[in-house]
Amino acid sequence: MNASARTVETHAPAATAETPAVFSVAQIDASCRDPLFLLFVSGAIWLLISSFLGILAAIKLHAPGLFAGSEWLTVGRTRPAAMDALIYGFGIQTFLGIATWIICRLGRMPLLGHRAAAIGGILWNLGVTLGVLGILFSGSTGFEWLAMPRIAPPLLFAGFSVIAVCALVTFHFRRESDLYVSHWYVLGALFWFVWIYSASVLLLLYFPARGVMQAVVNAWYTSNLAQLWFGGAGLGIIFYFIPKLLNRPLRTSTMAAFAFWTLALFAPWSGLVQLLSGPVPAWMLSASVFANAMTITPLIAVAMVLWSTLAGDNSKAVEPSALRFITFGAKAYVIVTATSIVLGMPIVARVTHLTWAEVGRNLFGLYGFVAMVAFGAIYYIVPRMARVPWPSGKLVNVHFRCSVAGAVLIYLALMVGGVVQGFRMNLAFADFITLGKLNAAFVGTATIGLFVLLAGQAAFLMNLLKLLHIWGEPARKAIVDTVRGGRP
Amino acid sequence: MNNPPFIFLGLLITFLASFAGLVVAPQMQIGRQVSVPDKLTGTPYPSARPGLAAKGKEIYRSLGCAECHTRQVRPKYSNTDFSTDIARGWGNRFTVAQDYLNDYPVMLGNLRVGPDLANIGARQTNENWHLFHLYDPREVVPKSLMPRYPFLFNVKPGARPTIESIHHFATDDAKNLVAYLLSLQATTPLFESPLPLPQTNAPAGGTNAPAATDTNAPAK
Repeated sequence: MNASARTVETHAPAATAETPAVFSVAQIDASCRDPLFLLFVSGAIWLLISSFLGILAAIKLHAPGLFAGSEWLTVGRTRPAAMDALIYGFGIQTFLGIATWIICRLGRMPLLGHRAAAIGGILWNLGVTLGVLGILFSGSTGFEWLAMPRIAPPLLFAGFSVIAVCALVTFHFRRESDLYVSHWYVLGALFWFVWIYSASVLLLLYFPARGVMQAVVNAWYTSNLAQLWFGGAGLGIIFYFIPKLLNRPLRTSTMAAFAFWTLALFAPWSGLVQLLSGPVPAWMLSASVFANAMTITPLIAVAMVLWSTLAGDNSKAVEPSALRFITFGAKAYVIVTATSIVLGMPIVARVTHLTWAEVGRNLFGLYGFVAMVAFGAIYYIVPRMARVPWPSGKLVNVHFRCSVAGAVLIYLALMVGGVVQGFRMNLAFADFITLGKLNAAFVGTATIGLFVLLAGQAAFLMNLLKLLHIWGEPARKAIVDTVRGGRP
Repeated sequence: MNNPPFIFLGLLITFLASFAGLVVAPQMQIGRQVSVPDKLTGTPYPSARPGLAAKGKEIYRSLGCAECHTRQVRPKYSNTDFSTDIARGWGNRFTVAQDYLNDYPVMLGNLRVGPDLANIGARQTNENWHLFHLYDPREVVPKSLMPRYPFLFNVKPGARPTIESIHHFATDDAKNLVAYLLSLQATTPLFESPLPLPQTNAPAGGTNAPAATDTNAPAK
């Protein structure tokens, strides 16, 4: 292993006479700067756009007549557009950036091909833009979380692949041959995403499978995207940052590795619980119900790792704001995975299936787990790449409080609302209009949660743009000086 | 712990297994289904949708109807089962894979803000009712949460369409969408989803059905 690592090193393009054998942390961060700024800033903008669209969709449930004349603002378009903007525009985009940075840092190697990675980021954002506009103006494809029209997936796939290849090449030429457990999660997530996304897009949009097979592929995709891409990459980020910020080792890496393999074994089988009592053969549902129950194994392992690593004095964190976000995200992971296990049990699904409870689970996964982990990582990474501290600690506080309050409010409102809705739906005499009114009350509470989230997201974007403004100051000054210097 | 090819192999094997189990195997089973003859009439089920309904399906997809409406009737496996889909009149039997054979995209839906539509064409057969309901749901269903779809109609300011005159205002898109809604019926009895007992004896009595297909019928 050592010998091969050394040969690799001699072939590494960066290891020329001028470059040092050991790269400084600052060099590594600087190498990631351009593509990651692109991914993080556009991610933050997409997050805000998604919240606007989500609020538009939610408000229509209380005032169905609002904007009724505009086809593109109808709820059947704003809702999938909001979800896809959140997932592809924000979630996948920022996680991909963070994963790339972790691979560089863990391998002690600057990002190779950072220009290519930036082009990948542009392709990805072009894909998301065309996709979201496509949903709004020509309608969704009809598939959950794959609602973008056929023009978007090739751009998204190309953008993702370019960045993933840059990350893999950097990984290959790494200076630190030892692997850390985050490597597994992050590299696994890259591998899984490429597979599930390409297979699902091909089987749903380009060479469609027949009949209900489409629903099977769709459920397989959404479940894997949540558990393997978001879950896998998210855990990789959590297991990287918590020990780093607390300055003590993960307890224990072996347990985290056990969680990784059990996740890889059980999670991919569990997707069809989303079709419980649906029109598919029973053996498929049984297989998924079993696998879904078994995902409690990685969950317990993850919970034990978090519990024992977080136990102790956490007041002297390297970057307290980052730790706050990531710790909340880690707890949200445990909650959302536990919720998924419970909602996937047939006895519970008889009540909660096809209700707001499942929407609440999805939104809490995205706003409570994915977003919080991403925010925490960005709060750590960005000031180090830009060498500029966050301009306002106050905005960070606002962001944190709003994000927690909004995510928790949405989760509780939709969970309780979903259970009430499910019980009432199972009474054959319960009138559907009264039921809808009742739902509206819970969904209304969740809508307030969306507004609270939006306030936090706005604070985050403002802080990020201010930081970029300060970071760009010398460059702007230099340009102004050159222009002035040109004139006598 | 330190061997990337080994990790990759592990990932490949675990994921390939699940791909084979949840994508390839179902494809071999339900991806290869074909139409079966209707026991009562002998016509293939499901048959392709008529042209207008096929166009209407694109409107249904594009306006995102499936965001709030499911298209699946859930079975009641036992007396302790809660599902009341059939008791609500959303269908006379539960839906199975066969019902969606010719659909693209299959929009089962995952949230019931509004009622299930698997059998809306059998439940409400009045075309004008559907048109008027799309124009302004609250006119026909008071306090409905459904949005209005005025852009599917050519209504000049001042004109007040009624349920009788709405057809006159409807665009082709609206008429196609309603044709699609009227085509949504999963009432043909199937081997894997027979009609519940009280209703099976009533209509044709099996005399019109070809004998060859009758052998597929479940024991009464």
